[in-house]
Amino acid sequence: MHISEDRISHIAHRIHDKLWRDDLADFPDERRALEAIKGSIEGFFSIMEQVDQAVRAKLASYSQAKVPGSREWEILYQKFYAEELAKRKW
Amino acid sequence: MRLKEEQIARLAEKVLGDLERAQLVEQKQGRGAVLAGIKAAIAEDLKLEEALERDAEALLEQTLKAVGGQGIDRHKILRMIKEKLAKERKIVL
Repeated sequence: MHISEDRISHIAHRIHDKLWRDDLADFPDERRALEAIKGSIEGFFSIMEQVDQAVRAKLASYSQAKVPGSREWEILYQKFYAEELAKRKW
Repeated sequence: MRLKEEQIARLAEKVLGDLERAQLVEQKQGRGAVLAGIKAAIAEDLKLEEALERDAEALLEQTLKAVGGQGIDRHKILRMIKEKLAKERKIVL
C-alpha cells in the first residue's frame, strides 16, 4: 500500500488538530509531537507493506498456487495476513 | 488508500502508544477519548478520499461519454480529474 510523504504529513496534521481542537490532548512540544505522529504513520505503513509482501511471496510459493484475485486467493491472503501479523505480535 | 476499521484502530493505537512512550502527549479526557479522537480523524479523512474517488469515477464516465472514449488513456484522465478535485477540496492525496 503506497502512501506519499505529503499524505502522511496531511493525516498527521489532521490527528494533531483534532486532538487539540476537541480539547482531548495537549502537546508539550508541538513540533516533536507532530514529527512523532508522522513517524508512527510511516512506521505503520512500512509494516503493512512488509506484511503484504511476505504474504504475497508465501502465496506465490504455495504448492497449490492460486490465481491472484480469485476467491481462494483472497481467503488464503486474509489467513496468511493474520498469521503474519500475529508473528510480528501485532 | 483504503483501511479496514481494525487497521484504523491499529494505526490509532500505534500513534498514541508512540506519543505516550516519548512523553509527547498530555491526555485531558482519558486514553479512550484520545484514541477515539485519533480514529475519528483518520476515518474522516479516508471518507473524504473515498468520496473524491467516487466523484472522480463519475466524472470520468461523463467525460468518456461526451468525447466517445476512443483512444483515451483512462488512467491518465482519472488521475487528472482526481488531482483537480483534490485541489478544489483541499485534500492531499
